[in-house]
Amino acid sequence: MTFERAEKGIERGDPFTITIDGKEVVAYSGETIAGAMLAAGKMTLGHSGQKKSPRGVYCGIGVCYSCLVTIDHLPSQRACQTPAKGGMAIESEKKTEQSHENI
Amino acid sequence: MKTYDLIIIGDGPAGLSAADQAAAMGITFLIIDENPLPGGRIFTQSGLKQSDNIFNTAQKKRLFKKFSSFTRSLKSQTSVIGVFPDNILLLTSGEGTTKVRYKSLIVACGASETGIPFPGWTLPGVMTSGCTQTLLKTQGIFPKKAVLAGTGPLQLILADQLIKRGGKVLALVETGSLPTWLKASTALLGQWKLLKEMGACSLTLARHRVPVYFNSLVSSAHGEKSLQEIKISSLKGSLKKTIKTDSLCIGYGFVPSYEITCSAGAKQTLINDKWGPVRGQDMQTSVEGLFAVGDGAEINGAVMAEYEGAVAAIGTTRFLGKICESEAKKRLSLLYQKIKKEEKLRKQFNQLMKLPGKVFELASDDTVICRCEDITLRDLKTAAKDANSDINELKRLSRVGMGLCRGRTCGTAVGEILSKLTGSPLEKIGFFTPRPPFRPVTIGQLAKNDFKDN
Repeated sequence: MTFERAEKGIERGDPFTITIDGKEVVAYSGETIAGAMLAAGKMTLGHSGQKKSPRGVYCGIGVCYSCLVTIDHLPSQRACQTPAKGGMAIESEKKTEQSHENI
Repeated sequence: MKTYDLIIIGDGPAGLSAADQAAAMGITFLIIDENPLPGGRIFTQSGLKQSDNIFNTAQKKRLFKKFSSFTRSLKSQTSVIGVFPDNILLLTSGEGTTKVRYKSLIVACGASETGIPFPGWTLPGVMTSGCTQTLLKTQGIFPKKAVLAGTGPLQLILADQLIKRGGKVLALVETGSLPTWLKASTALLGQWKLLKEMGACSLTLARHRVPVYFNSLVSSAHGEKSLQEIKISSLKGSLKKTIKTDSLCIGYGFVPSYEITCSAGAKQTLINDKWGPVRGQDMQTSVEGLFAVGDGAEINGAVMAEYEGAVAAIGTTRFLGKICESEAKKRLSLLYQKIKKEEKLRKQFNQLMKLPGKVFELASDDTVICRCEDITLRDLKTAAKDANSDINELKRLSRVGMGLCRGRTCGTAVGEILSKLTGSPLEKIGFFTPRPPFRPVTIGQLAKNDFKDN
């Protein structure tokens, strides 16, 4: 796994479960969808509108819109700006989907 | 429509300081920010308890000390999506869209990272240093192994923080030269705290045997679905090293968010090759009653942002006629002294943050420059033939900068590239004209509005 949760000097919030592309993973309160996805080993979050090339978290501060995912059936949400909540269903945006290219 | 004596946009160090000073002088105001918690990017807060407090500085404590007195004036998770005549701002949040009017405005909306396109930079696993630091600070999530590349001392600090949390830094790649760094460090003599911090970071790097490449940059990133490998080249272009990694953090400095001051009519100018508003000593822009402070106006860091915020608040009070001239002058002269001292320090910093022209020559014809619209360098070269050295003409011809990020990621690079292609100076190339909405909004958010009542 590429990203991990630091253990040294850190006290985490309460754990809960979210699903990422149908797979249940644990996230902690205070984490964003981007953080939870990276910690779950999910680097590719979506694909660009025109060329359909893979995209992941890039700026992490809500500016670049590279980290768009579908959250509870709502498409094109910024993973880095959305706090993770128990029971959320997150889908990374597939190559074939017509998502934010039509916005 | 509600009219406020003062609206402050942004609750980072500049905005908080302005709010604190305005409150002290009895001005009622509204302060808004896009984020759920105040502090700005540098002092981002989270629910995470960190026992060693590596991110808790004296400045953060100072800024938050007085914060409780004006929490009720803060509207968080709210974006300004447009500025209109008669001092009207359009604000959008999850609750919908609302119109407000201001008598005076302090724009303290911060900066974002300079997007530098190079082959492979759109691959998942390539992220900004700010991104990595934000994840680390607010969530304690970090890349296990990463290469850090860019310009300036912030990379050094991030490397130290990553290592302290248990990460491994595979290499630190810096465009500056060792002599430039040493020269800047000598100029910082007397700034013991800062020198000590940078020294400690360097020691961490040495202790963990992190290879440091000066005069170098990451020239390309490779991988199929996500990052697998990066290439380090010298500034002259010769390949120095290939490293297998799935995480690359790139930090090439920051770009002020000029969209609000620009839309409000403030004249913009180039400062250290970045566009920002022209300002007087009291932080007032070319528009009366419109002030711009902090990194959103000119990249000078959090300490300067705090001083500037206070200056603008006094300027506003003077503009509103709520302070006598002698009292304003007295308060301002103290702050001007502090600013003057800080300017000396920033000069050294800005020297280290200066981007070599080479970083804008890394893209190949197939490299995507505009991440949102997938516009390549080849597309730009074609469009540039008819763009008359005008970045907005280039935008209309190619769709560059028209995507969801509103050109905030690629704007600086597109300007530099067009300047190189045409031989015209950046002044002539100009900047992407901001258009409302400054942020993508849903029809639902716009429809849920209070326009009828106004």
